[in-house]
Amino acid sequence: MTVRRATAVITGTKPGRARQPWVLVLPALLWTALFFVLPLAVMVVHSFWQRQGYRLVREWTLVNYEKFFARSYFLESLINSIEVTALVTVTSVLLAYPLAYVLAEKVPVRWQRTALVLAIVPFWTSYVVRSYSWLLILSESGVISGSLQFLGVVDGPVSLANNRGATVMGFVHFFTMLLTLTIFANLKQLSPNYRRAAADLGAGPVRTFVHVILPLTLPGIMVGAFLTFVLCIGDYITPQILGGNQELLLPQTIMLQIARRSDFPMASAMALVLMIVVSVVYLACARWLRLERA
Amino acid sequence: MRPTAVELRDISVRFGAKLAVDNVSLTIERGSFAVLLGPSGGGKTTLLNVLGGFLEPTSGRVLIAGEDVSEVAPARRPTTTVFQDYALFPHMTVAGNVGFGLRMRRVARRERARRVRSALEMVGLAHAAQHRVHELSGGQRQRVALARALVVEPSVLLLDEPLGALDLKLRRQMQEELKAIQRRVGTTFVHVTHDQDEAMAIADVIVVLNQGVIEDIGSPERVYLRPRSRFTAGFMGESNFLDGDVVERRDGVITVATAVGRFAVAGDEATGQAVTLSLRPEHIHVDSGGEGLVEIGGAEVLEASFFGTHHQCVCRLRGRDTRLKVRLPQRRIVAPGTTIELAVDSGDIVVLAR
Amino acid sequence: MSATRRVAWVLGAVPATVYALAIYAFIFLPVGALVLFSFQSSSLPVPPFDGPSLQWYRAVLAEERLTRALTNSIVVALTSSLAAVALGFCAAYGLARYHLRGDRLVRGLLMAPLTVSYLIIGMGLLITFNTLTIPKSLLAVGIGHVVINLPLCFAILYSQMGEHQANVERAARDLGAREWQVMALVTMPMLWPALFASYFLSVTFSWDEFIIAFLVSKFEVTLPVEIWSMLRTGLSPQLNAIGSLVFGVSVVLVLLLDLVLLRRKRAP
Repeated sequence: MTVRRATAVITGTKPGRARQPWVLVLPALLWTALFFVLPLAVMVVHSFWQRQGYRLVREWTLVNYEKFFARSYFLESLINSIEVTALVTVTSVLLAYPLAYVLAEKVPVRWQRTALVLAIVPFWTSYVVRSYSWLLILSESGVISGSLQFLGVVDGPVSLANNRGATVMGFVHFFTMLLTLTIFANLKQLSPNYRRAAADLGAGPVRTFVHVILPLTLPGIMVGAFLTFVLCIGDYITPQILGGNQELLLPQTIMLQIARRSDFPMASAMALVLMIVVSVVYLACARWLRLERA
Repeated sequence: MRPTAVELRDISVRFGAKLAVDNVSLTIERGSFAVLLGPSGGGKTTLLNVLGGFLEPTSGRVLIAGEDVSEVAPARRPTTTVFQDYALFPHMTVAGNVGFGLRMRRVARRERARRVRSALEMVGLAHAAQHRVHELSGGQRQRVALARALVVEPSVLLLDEPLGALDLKLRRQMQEELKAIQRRVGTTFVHVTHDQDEAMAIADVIVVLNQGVIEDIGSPERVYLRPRSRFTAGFMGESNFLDGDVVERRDGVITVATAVGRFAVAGDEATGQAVTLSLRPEHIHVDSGGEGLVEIGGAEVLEASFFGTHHQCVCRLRGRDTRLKVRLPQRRIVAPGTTIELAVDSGDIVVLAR
Repeated sequence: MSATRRVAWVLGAVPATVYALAIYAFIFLPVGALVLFSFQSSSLPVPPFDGPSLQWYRAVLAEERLTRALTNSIVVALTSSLAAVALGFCAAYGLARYHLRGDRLVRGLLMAPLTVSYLIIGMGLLITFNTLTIPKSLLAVGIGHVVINLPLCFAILYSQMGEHQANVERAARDLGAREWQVMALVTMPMLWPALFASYFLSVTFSWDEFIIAFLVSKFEVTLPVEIWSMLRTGLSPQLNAIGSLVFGVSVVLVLLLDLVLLRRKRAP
């Protein structure tokens, strides 16, 4: 989203005019400072404190971070998160691109909006309910298990849920839709003349795609993939519902610190680690995320 | 006999209820610079797209260099196109863009580099080979698009209003360059534009299109000085139109009676036929009697605008309601209300069917 | 179209259609099952599908906790979105119309919450409120929702306050209107689609938001949180019913929206 600036000249000469814009901007600024910046700062501070017993020890210490990188299950949850998120991102892009291509190129223009809306409709349930509905299908008392038993293929209930596969499935379901939208928008704003020029110069449909369309949509793909990464790695709901207890992802271990142990310092430290991971990925993708002049 | 470069036979293009091109047949000679000229929506871009293979006509055949290419896709036709927005690939360098067509034809790298270099030299951009597209100005991009289209040595080069986005001075310069390049390379150019000045400046032959029909076709001089239809006369420059009837016909000279008077002009329309006389403002002589000039009469100047090289005036004939557009010399002081005497050389009058 | 071209087109279209349909089936699978089994007579969401029954819908609507949560969700969504739009509008107006020092910094700051995961925003609020011994409540949820929606509203409104808009306002000033009149009589009416869009988006995000609501509320909760607690007890057809209800309401709302907008466009 490009945010255009309008430079307006203050035409009035009345005194006190110069204060006016700040009066307008201040409320939003204060709100953000008070309820966003301050909590973040509080969290950062807490990450360097420690919870001992039931008390909060307000002394500078790195023990939380040490614990994080030393204890296997903390570190593992981070690694699991990165693995799952990477898998989800790649899979969703691979599934979404062809669909977006078909929608943008093969579907008559009249029906494109309807087709898009149709792709989004199933996500108008609450996100929680949507994740739950995969449980409906995958669990041992769910649709697949029941159908297989009904058909006599298996003897007893079969559970496909409570594992990494189910989590990935749940994520891919959501992010394929999201990526289809972003890639579709990207494809639509490509001038049709690019395609014509490529064809004109002798490129068949496959080579036009490989040499022209794909490179031109790559920035858009990167933006969508980055968005997917950030949303996926920070999601607590889907892994909690579908992932089972064997393997935890980072948001789950964070929530464990909060809910079970009220260990705010530890949770804060882990949240900071999460933010750092996201920042690292952002820097790696920064090349594509900068808006290029058309 | 060498085949003509382009031949369109009975091409019609229909979009739903609208007939964009109505049974057009056209031949373009090899090595000529043809311009399709007309107002927006007149069918010229549609025709160009049919030529390029981007649009399948509802009926008719397209022949290029004698071969029927109606079923052939753009990739395989011996044409290339310079698009209105240039369609340069932003993710490639200038050299990458220009070499794209050669790459598609699997030309070897060294040969490709050589041809790209010579194409860029021809358009004066050899130094910009490694630049990215967004670093170039509008005029430079236009030249890259041209180089890209020419380097594959097409039989016919199609240009879709390529100079529309440039400012006046740059446009004039590019017109000259286009003409020079076409002469040097010898490829048949088919150029679409709505700018009649541009058409006259560069074309060997102008095809005037309006509402899907060819109004006139010929050299710039002929189309301007002796237009074949009322639309052409009005579209190419300014024109005064006088409706009249042929009252006499003798020895290749007809006399036409109009509201302004009788004029004897060359022609062989039948007596009683309704015609329109077209008279260009620059052909009306003001306050200068002379041999062979036919008097029109006195007129009062109503409005005058200064155009640098001349004054363009609207004047009303004395005693009548008829208004005529005339030109007055640059240094003449013109004020509304001035009376002027008008005359014309009957050789300059064009007879058009009504 | 010639015969050969037509055949080629059809052949090319087959794999594309198959693929698209497969993906659409994948997309609709869970929701389809959800809605289907919300009408299930027996208590398990498995085949065979026993005839349609509305018992679960009745149970859901009778459940007081659910209806309370629903009301809470609506109230929080509507009010927090109003605050977000109001704050965003004023900030956008101030930044777009006036030359302020450090405005790039301000803009960056206002947009910053978009880059942070909701989990972290929620955690920050939880810890801060806890430290200040402010109790968990729906108000806290509302505050959190304003935090996440403010950047969105600001971005949308700011992007719509371009040069064209500025010129119309200059004209109004030129004709004698005072600042507040310009804002109320010219800017806001002209921007109503953007205002509406940002309000609608904020309501949508707030309505569906779980993690912040989960962290900073306690006794009075929003619908997603209530559904979550129901989830803890395992699969239940009641869940299917409430999920389908939420889904149905969303569909109806969007259809209404579309009709309203479409009707407005058609009217000359």
